[in-house]
Amino acid sequence: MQYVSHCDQAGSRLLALPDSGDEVMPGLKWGSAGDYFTPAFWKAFAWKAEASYSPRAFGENLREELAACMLCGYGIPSEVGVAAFWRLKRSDLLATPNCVRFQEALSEPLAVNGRQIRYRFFRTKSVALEGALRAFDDRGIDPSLTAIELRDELMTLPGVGPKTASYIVRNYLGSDDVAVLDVHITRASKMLRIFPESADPQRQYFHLERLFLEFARAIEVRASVLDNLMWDGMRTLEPATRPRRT
Amino acid sequence: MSSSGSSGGGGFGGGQPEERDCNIIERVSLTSPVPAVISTLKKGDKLDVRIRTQAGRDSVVAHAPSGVIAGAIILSSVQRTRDLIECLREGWHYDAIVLDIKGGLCNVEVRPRP
Repeated sequence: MQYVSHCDQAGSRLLALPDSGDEVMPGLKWGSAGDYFTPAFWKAFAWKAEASYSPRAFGENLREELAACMLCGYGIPSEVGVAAFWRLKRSDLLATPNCVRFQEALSEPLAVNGRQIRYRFFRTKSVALEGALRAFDDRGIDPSLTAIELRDELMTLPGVGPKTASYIVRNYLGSDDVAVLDVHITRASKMLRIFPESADPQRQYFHLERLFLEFARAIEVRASVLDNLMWDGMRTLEPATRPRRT
Repeated sequence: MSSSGSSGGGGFGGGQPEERDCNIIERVSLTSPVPAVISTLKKGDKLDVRIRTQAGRDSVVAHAPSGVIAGAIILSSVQRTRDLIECLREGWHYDAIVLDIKGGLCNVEVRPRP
């Protein structure tokens, strides 16, 4: 066994994990919890900080979550996407979707962590957002569907693919039945070798999602928590662990 | 520090870049403690916190006074762990002061070296 302990205001806790050489899944060893990005590392960090990584919705309802997750789409850092969402929400522009008004609002720089940042692709995003919100309003998607049913419904909206639909469902329902396979999760999964090097979520989303969910189950971590933790770990910690040449 | 192409994250309590503060003081347990080394330590010992490069990746470990690795250091969040690595690279030095040793586990306080 290898042990990880954690001390916080609630007291001291101890986690026993299998030996580093034991297999977590066929062909995949636990590794050491002290070695970054191993299964044991992710398990230990999730155990320590599960509350911090539990999913939360950006919006107050499914429609707003659709808008928020679309605005955080490809090429847009999430802080910028969220700032864009709040600008549209506070300006009451989401109520009546209009791409011209969206463009006007998004063309102005956004204040993000004390910096003024331009929202990239604001024209195409505005058009896509109007289309998705109008279709959502026309179809009246039932928010009480199961996670998979809801994702399937969301994917019928224009501009909403598997990743965005999964993102909405995970945040809105706090679901562990879907995964948000973005560039960071894909990279972490390749490092773990639960995804092959050739893995491409654009082409194999549901197959890769199944592999990710199997891994989450194997290490007994909620998929939604693991997803958020990996995302944070890969964008924040991983670049710092690359050796620097001096 | 925001990376482009990083959709899909957020929707949780984190995701906000923070200013780096190298005045890191945190109580943690050594991760993956080395039993043969831990058994030689006592309360108050100062372990040297250093970067270790292994398998093409940097991590942070604590060296016992004898010079051997006693265990790994992972702080309470990925941001703080990242900060510790970056601050070590910037020339900060840290000690991990042994608080107690129980059943092969070693609790330490990481703090900048005076």
